[in-house]
Amino acid sequence: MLELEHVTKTFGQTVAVDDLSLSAPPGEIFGLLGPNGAGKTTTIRMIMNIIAPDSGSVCFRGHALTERDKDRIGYLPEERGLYRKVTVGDMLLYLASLKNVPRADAEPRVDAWLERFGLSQWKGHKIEELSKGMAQKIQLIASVIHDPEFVFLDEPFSGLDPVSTDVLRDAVVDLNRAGKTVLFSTHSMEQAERICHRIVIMDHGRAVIDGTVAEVKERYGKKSVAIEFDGDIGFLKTHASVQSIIHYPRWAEIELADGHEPDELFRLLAGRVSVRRFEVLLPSLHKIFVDQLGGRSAAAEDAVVTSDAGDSRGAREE
Amino acid sequence: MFKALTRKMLRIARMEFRQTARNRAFVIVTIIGPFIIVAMSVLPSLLAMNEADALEETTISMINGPPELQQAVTSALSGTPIRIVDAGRDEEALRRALQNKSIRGYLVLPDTLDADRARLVTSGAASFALVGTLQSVIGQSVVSLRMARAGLDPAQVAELSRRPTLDVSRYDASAGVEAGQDPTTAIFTVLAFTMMLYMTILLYGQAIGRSVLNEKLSKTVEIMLSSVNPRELLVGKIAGKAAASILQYAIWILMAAGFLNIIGPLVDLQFTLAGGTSTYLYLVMFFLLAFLLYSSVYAALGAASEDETHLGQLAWPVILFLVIPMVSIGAIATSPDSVFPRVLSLIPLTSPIVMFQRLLVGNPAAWEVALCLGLLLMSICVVALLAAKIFRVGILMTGKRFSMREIVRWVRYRV
Repeated sequence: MLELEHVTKTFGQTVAVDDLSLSAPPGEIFGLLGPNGAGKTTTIRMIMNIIAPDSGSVCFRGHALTERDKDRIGYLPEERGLYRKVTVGDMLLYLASLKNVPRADAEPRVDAWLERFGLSQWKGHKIEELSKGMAQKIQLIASVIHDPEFVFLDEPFSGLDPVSTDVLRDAVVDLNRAGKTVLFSTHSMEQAERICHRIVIMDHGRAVIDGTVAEVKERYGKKSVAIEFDGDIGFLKTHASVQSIIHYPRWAEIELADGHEPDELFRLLAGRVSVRRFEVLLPSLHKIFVDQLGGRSAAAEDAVVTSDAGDSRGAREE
Repeated sequence: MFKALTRKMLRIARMEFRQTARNRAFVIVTIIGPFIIVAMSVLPSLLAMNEADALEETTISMINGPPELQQAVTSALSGTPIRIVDAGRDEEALRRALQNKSIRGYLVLPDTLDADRARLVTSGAASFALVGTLQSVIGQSVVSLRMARAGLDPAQVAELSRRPTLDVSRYDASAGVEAGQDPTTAIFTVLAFTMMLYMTILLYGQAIGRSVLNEKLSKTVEIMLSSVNPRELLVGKIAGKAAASILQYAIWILMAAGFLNIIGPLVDLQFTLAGGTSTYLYLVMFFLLAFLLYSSVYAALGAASEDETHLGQLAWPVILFLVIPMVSIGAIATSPDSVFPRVLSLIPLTSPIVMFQRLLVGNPAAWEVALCLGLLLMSICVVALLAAKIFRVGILMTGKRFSMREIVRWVRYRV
């Protein structure tokens, strides 16, 4: 169990983390979400005892984290790198030795992990010869080589191609299946939605949304419907049951206003246009994120632009 | 708990040692270093020993002075490479001769035997050998002529004014032997070992700075800090470099001892080490103390800097303290127990080099050595603590160039 209570950290005039409380139960995958600059990395650094909070407490298994606990934690920092002139094998064995893993145990684990990521033939090569994606996989191996109970990953998927992302995500899920508690930060809602049990969405150092993924969707999600049709649905724009609409010529995603049900929409459409598909959508974390933080931070603005690009009339008609 | 921490520290030290000792530059410096140092210390003393032969063929001119003095000087110089030619009767003509390089210099002798001054004008710098020879020849001639004028027999004068030569030797209390030495040997020994200390302290200090900076630039530092605390990282790195430097010194001393004791006698080398065998012990001891002091400072600066240029900028005040003993080497070597060297041998940043110099050629009191070591050890502790603090803050700071003032402020930060 990992618990943060009323943790605050200030750098000069900037409040990086503001009265943050969270708890990550054992055996779950915990997602720390939020735009760039939300305070995710500072939070993880405080959890790792690399920097100390100004106030509040970080509790690891019921006590403040000690140097000894570090051997039970695997950490993949956001600012990560390896010694360029050292071989992959030596680097991993060295980092394992710093976690007090006996060499005899470390060697087969290094081989097994390299095998899993298809990097066995790189074992004797120097780090500087690796591509960025390969190095990132080696760094993930470094963070789990000592078979830790807790794994903290700061932006593990950033800068990876889709194939590598899948490989890494599968590895994270497998770690969790093996009983590890995983906490990772990301600004990618899609990644979080796929693998997290529980999330905290941070903005400007504060937790703005938290709970299990199901809870969050229930609490913050608006009901949405995707339709494919032939005809004109312009009349929906002004209808009271419709909160917003993303409208393409033959396809639309409609968000219902509070207190209105998909059935109502179905009846409205029936007879006016020919409906070829009608699907009730679960709200995506992405949508919730944008709705909750939209306009509050530049990064969230970016998210709006990229997700809704292509719709000339604009998606946000609130 | 303590044991576990120490084990991690040793692993960091071992990695640092391996990374240092496997570096090509380290191997090259280790092998070539002694040759440079031997060349620096032996060649000048070989040259110094053959000083008389070093006087080159020189043509000069001479004006003024009573004819008998001119005659005496000319005849005294006949056995030397200095040739007297007539290049003019006045200084203007002689200056022209200097300009067109027909003569190397000219002497303006005193008008009478009672005057106390003669002048030598040369184009370019006059060599020690030339000045020394002329000084002694003119002096001898004037004194002889004065004595002859007073009615003494010149042969008798020469016989009476013959001086004994002075052989200088040094008693090495630790070895219980008396070793012959001359002041030039002492100066060159001091010069060689000071150079060695200065170079190694600077090189290893900078190496520590770069190693710490590299931890930051390669972004390994957070991965490291997730396993060890900053103190272990700092101490481990310094310990690893210290081990590498001791290996290097051991190889050097073996090579030097082999050279002086085996090859030296074969080529009939007339060179001994001022200070004897204890020199090696002092050398390693003061190197290690200086290394610990400077590497702590450099580690802090490395953690605080943004790149190598920035590190260089932050480090120049530190280098200044290393340069002081270098530029004062003449003063220290010739009067090692005067006030200036005594003060420098107590100030921690200069004391390792200066106290070593004094032990080599001077005679520092036991309490001075004890005080020097005490102050040095104390300041190593203080500096290491401050450095650890700066290191802790600095190692995570990226993207900004901090000034020295800001860095010093970090000591008060809570991290």
